[in-house]
Amino acid sequence: MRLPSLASRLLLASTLLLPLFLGLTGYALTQGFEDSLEAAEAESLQSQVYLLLGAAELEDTQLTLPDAFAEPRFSQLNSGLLALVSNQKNERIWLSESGRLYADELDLRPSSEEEALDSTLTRGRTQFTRSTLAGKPFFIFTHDVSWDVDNGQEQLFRFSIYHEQSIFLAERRAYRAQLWRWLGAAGVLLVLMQWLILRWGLRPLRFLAADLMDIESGDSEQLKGDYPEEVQQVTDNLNAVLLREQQQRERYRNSLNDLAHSLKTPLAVLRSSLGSTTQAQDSLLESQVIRMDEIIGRQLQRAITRNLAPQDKVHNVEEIAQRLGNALEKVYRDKNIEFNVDISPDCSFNGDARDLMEVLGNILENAFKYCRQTVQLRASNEALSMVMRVGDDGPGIPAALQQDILKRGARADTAQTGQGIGLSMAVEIISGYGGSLELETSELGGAEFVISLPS
Amino acid sequence: MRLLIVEDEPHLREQLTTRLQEQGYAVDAAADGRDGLFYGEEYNYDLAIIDIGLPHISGIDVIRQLREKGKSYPILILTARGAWQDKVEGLEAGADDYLVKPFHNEELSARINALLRRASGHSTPQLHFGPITLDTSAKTVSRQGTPLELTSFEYKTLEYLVMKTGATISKSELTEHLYDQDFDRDSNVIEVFIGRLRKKLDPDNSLKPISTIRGQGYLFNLKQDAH
Repeated sequence: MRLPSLASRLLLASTLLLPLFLGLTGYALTQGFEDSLEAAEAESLQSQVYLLLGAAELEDTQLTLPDAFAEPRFSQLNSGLLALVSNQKNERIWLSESGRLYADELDLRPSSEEEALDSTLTRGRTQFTRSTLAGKPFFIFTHDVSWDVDNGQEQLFRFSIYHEQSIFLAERRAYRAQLWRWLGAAGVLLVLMQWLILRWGLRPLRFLAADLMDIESGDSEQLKGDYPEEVQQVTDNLNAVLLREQQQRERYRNSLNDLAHSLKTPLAVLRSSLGSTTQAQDSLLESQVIRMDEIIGRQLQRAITRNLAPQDKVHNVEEIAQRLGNALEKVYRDKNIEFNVDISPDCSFNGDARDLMEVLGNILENAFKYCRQTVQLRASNEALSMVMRVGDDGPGIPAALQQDILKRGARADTAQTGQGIGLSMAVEIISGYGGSLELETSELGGAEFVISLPS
Repeated sequence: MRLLIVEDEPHLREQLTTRLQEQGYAVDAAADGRDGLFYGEEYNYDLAIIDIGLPHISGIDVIRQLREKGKSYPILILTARGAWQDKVEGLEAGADDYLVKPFHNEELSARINALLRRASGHSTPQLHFGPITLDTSAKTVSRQGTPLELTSFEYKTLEYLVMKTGATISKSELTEHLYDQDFDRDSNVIEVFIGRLRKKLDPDNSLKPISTIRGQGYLFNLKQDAH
């Protein structure tokens, strides 16, 4: 069985163990109580024997007892307390008034002797045991007494007290009921307390989870919470790992940038030195230089998008779009382009802002370059992704070329001077995020790029 | 036209300088942000080409400070990485266009032309002034459809005056913007060029395209044709 949480595991374990523990406690308490009840019973019955002994008189060899006693229950029929005196031959020689109804059964006892009671009389011996009379449970206390007869001989008698167990049983029942009620309540209380303690004790872990969630959503870069010692060790280590990872990411990005910078400048030199050689060499050199440049650009972009896990969440999609729009309006000032932005405020992008800028920049640049007068950007959140539509009123893209553009980012119009591999970079980044880029026809008449990115 | 190049890579800087000089521009070159900022503040250029990744002061800071000092000439930024973050920051700092390395020489020329044209308020490379047409992209001048034979200096003088249409340009400003600093600044040379230009543009002396404002300089006073 797989339990979802630590709390439920601990709670289940204690819920299973608690009844066992409470059961044993209850059993021990009941036993102890019963033992002390029985000891008290035995003591009380012994004092009854002493009462009888005090009242008994031996005349010749005959033992006589009075009819009335200080203990009224001996005289009451069915009082539940009866006294019996028997002789060495186990013959009944006296029975209290209260035991009259049991007389026959008592007389039969020697034959149906219970093993618990030793029927041989031994001077001074007391026995305490249980038995039944007429189907009712009784305690029996016996005391064997020897009486000195005149001629120096002694005569043995057994004084037996029978006491019905009904009071004892009722008391025990009440005790047990009370005990189990208390133990049950204690059990419920313990489980509840345990649940509260668990919640309290595991609270730092819940905070940790929330803290980690913040990092994942990009709201924070480190675990900030103040944690108990045990957890703090984990969070300190996690923070160290995060920091190292961030630094490594930064170093990685920097070294990639350096690589790009250091490779691109010599390429620029190579390219601008063209013209000093023959035409054929020029075009060969140039085509190779362009190829190298594109390879570097593409590989760099791929490395950046593949290896850098998106940690930031970009909420200011509109701001990025506006900055790009302003920049492009400046560059294409001569065309007097009308740039319309409609971005719903809930738009967000789950990734690096720089990547979003790269994607949007390249696609917007394309639209600004090819449009006649108007470029429009609309963005809204749909299901789990942000969908951005960049449309223009330019000539549009012939169907035959559309697939090529989406695949390699090749420029459809090679007549217009331009540079770089903007669209293919955009495609690369978008696919790195598991998004998609599609081409449609804009309501403005030109091309419309539909970008879907995870939000 | 006088250009400033701020580029830290020596080969690229030299190549650019040579190329642009060949195209008839007067060029100053600086190797880092500090020098670039000094040149940019000290002289009035017609255009500056500034690399973003510069030692000492970044290209973006150079641009920002130049703009804060009131320098309004067009600025073209060069970026090696081509990241939009750089382009947008550069444009926000005050640049007017960007070019990603490596680039075609033709692309660079086209951008420079476009920026210069735009700065002069002209939107197309062909400028028409009645019978006279100036093609700033091909760097040719024609009169009633017939190409005129102008020397490079004559063309540059005319182009500068045209770009500053309506403003009186002193001889010293012309020298400063047309020729490299080591040029012998003999103002008679300018007078000679202006005289030749007048003859070539206006042989029958009916248009009077260039007026002399005594003691101040020259003024190109033809109006551009409405499209």
